[in-house]
Amino acid sequence: MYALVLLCALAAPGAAAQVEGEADLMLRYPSQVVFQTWGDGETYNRFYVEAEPGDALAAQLRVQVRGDHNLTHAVPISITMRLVDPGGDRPDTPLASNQTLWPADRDEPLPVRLNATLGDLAPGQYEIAFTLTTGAWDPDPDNNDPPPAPLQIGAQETTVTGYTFQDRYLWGPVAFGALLAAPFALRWGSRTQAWGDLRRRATTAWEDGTERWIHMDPERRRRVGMGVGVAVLAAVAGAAMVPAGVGFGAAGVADAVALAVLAALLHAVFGVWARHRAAVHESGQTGEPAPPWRSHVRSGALAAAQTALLVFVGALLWQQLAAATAFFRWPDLYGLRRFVAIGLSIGSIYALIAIGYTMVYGILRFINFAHGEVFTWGAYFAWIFMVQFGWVGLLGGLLVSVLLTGLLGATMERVAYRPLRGASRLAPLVTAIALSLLLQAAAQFWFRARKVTYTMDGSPYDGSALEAFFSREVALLGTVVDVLALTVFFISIGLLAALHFFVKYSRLGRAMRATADDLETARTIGIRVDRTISATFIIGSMLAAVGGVFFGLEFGLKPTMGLFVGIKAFTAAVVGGTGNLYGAFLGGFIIGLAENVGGQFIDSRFQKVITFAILVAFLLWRPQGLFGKESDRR
Amino acid sequence: MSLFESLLQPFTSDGLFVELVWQFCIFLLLGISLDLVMGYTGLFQLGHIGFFALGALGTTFGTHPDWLGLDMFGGILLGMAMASLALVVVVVPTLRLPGDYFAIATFGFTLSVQAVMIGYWATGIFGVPGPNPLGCDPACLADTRVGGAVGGAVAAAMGLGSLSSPAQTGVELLILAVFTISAYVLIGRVKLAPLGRALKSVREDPRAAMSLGKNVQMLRFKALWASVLVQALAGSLWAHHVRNLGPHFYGFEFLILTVVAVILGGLGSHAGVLVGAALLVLVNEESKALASWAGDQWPVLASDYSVPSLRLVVFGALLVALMVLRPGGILGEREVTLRRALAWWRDRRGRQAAEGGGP
Repeated sequence: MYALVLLCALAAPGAAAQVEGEADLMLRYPSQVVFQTWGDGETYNRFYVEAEPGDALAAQLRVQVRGDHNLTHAVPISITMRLVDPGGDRPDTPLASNQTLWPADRDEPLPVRLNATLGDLAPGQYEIAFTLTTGAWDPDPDNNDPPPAPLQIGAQETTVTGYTFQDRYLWGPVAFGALLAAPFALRWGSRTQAWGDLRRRATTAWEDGTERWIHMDPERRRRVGMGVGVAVLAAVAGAAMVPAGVGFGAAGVADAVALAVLAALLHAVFGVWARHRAAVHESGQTGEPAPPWRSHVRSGALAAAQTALLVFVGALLWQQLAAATAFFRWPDLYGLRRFVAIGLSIGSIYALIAIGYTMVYGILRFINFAHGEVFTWGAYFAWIFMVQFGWVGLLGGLLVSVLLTGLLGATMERVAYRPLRGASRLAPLVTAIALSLLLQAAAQFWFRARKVTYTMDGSPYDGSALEAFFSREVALLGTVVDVLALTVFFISIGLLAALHFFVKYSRLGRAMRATADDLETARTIGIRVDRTISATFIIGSMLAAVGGVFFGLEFGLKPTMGLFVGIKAFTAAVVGGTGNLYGAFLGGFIIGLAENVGGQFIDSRFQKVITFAILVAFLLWRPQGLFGKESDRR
Repeated sequence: MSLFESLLQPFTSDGLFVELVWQFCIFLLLGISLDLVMGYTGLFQLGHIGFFALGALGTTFGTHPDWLGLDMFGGILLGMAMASLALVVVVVPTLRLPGDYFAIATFGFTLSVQAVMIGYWATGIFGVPGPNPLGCDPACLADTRVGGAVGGAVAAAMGLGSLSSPAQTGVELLILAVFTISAYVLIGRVKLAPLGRALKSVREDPRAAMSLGKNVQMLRFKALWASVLVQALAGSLWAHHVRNLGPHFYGFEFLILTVVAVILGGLGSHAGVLVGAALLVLVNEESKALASWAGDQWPVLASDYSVPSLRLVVFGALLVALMVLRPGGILGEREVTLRRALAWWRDRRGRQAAEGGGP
C-alpha cells in the first residue's frame, strides 16, 4: 500500500499565448470508487489516495490556448502523464500520453483523456505530473510550410492531495460513543454504595475548604493569596529561567527596582487613602472620631512593601520570559514616556465615555451597552456637518454633535429603555445590545465600513488647517505631545469640573444624586424621576459626543469603533467604581495608560485582551472598583 | 429581477437552499445551548460565539492535513476540549458576578477570542476538510476496503460511487442532521428532566433553590458546560462546512443573530428555538434578497451607501420592537413536546365531540 499524491500540471505563461490545462483526475479502484478533484492553481483541495498495483488511473484534462494569439495553424499539444517520486530517488515512470490539436479559431477548452494502469511500484509516496508541450507533430503531411514554432510553455505543478483512510478511522466513532455513554455509565455507577460514599466525602471536603476560605479573616486571606501568588511566580520563574539561563544585566535589575518602587508608592498612597476613607465611613456610623490618616501609614507601607516585592520578582521574571518568548516583551522604560502621553490623551476620551456608563448604572443599575454607539454617532454627527456638508467649523461641529447626540440618547431612553423599566433583567440588556447593533449598522450603512477622516479629498471642508493645528507637537516634560492630545486632556478635565459643580449644586444634579441613592424614595419626595433619568442619559451622551469628536480628529472614524471603545470605557467605569463619577473619570486614564504603556510589555496582538483581563480581574477581586466603598460590592 | 423573483431566490437556487439548511441547523444548535443557559438557568451570557469560534479552531487544527490530520470526531473532541478549558479558566471565575457584569464579561471574552484570532490568522486558514467521520471524504465509503461489502453496497445505492456533487452534499447534510437531531434531543431530555426544573428554580429564585438544597453554582456550571459543548460542536460543524477559518465571522453580528434566534422563539421554550431559528434564517435571507433588489432598483443606494448593512439595521429594530412589545418571544415559555401536542389534540377532539353531541 502506498499513498499517491496526485498532481496536475498547468502551463506557466511564457509568451503572448498561453497554453493552460486543468485536470479532472479520477482514480478508479477495482471496485469502482472514484475520487475526483479539481486542480485550479489553488492549494485548497488536497487528498491522499491509497492505490495498489493494478488500479486504473483515468485523467481528463482540459487544455486551452489563451491570450492574444494570431494562430494561423492549429496547435498540436501533447500531454504526458507520469509518476514522479518527489523524494528524487527513483526515476519518473511514464504512465500515458496523448495528443490533441488545438484549432486556430477555438476558444473553449479541449478535453483530453489519459488512461493508465498502475504497474508494479515500490511502496512510497508519489506524485502524478502532467506535462504539456506543443509542436513536434505536423498535422498536415502535405503541407510544405514549416511546422509552427513551438510555443514556450513551462510546466507548473499544482499539488492535489487527499486523505488517507487508514485503520485510525475507527477510533473516532468509538471515542465519541464512549464520551456519549460516559454520563449514563456514571449515572449507573453512581447508584452503587461506594460511589455515593466517595462523592459524599469529596463534596464535604470541598465544601469545608471553601467555607474556611470564605470565613477567613480578610487580612489573612490576602496574605495567603499573596503567598500563593509569590510561590507560583517563583515556580514559573524557576521553570522559565532554567532553560534560558539566569542572566540579569544591571539595567534589567535597575528597571525592576524602578518599577517596584513606583508600584510601592502608588499602592502606599492608594492604600492609606482607602484605609482612611473606610475609617471615616466607619466613624460616621459609630459616632467615634476617626483616627488621623497618619495612623494608616504603617499598614499601608507594609502592604506597599509586599507589592514592591511582588513587582520586583515579577519584573525580573517578565524580563526572562521576554528574552525567551515572543509573547512577552520588555521595552525601554525611559522610552515609555511617549506612551504615557498617548495613554493619558486617549484615557481622557475613555474618561468622558465612562462617565456616561457610570451615571446610568448608578441610577438604573443597568449597563447601557449602546453607549459605545452613541460615542460613534457623536463623532459622525460632527464629521457629517463639518466635512460632508461643509457647513460648520470645529466649534459648530462640536455644538451640533453634542445637541444631536443628546437627542439620540434621550430618544433611546424614551423608546427602548423606559417601557422596560419594570421588566425582567434580561429584557433591557437584550434591548441595549439590539440598539447597539442598530446604531452600528446605521453607521455602516451610511459610511460603508471604511474609515473616514477630517481631511477627505473633495470635501467642501478644508480640514487641513485644523489638522495642521492639531498635529503640531509640543515638547512637554521630556516628551513630545501633539496639541490635540493636550486639548482633549484639558477639555475633559474642564468638563469634569463643570459636571462636578453641576451635580453638587444644581437642582437637577441633586435630583440625580437622590435618584441614584434610592429611586423609590426619590419618587416619593417629589423628584420627577423620569425626567431625571432622561437628563442623565442626555448628559452622558453629550459627554460621549465630545469624546467622539476628538477621537475622530485623532484616529479617523470607523463604524465599528464604538464596540471596542465602549468595552474599554466600561472597564474604566468598573475600575473606578460603577456609580462613582470621579472614579470613572480616573478609571479612564488608568485604562488608557494600562492599554498603551502596558501594551508595550506584551505581544501587540494581545493588546486588546489587556482590557478584558483587567475587567475580569476587577470584577473578581474588587467589584466595587478602586474608589468604590466596600458596601458597594454587588 | 422582479421583487417576487428576488424573494423566491433562497428557495429556487439549489446551492443556496442547502446553505440555508446548514445555517438553520447551526442556529438551532447555538439556540438550544443559549436557551439552556439563558432561558432555563437565567444566566445572561454572550460568550457563545467565543466558544463557537474555539470549536471551529479545534476542528481546524484537528482535521487540517497540515496539522493533526485527525478525522472529524478528533476535531470535535479537540474543539470541545479547548472550549471547556476556556470555560473553566475564563468564565467560571466570573460566575459569581451579578447578571449584568457576567454578561459583559462573557461579551469581552467573545471579543477577545476574535481579536486574538484576527491577530494570528487575519487572512484565515484554508484547507479544512469537509465532514469526514471516517477520516476521508464520505465518498470513500463506497470502497470496500473502507466500508466493507455492506458499506460498498449502501454507498452504491446512495449514488456515492459517481461522486457527483449532490451525493457529497447529501452525505454532509446527513452528518449534520445526525449531530443536530441528537443534540436537540439530548438537550431536550435535559430540559424536561429534573435537571431542567432545577435550573428553572435557580433562575427564578437562587436563594429559594439553595434553601431547598440545590447547589446553585454547580447547577449553573453544569448548564454552562453543556451549552459550551454544544456550541463547540456547532463550531466544528461550521468549520467543516465552510472549510476554512475566517476570524471576522465570529464577531458581534453573528452574536446578535443568534440572540435574536433564541429570543424570537421564546426563552425557556425548547421547541421555540426551532421556530426562532427557522424564522431567523428566513428573515436573514429574505432581507438579503430585499436589500439586493433595492440596490438594483435604486443604484444610488448601492454606490454611495452600504446596502447589506440596512438589513442589520432592520434586525436591530426588530429585536428592539420584539423586546418592547413581546419580550416573551413567539412561543413564550410554552414547552411544546410531542406528547403534549397529542394530548392537546385529543382534548380538542374530545371537546368538539362533547359540544357536538351534547344538547
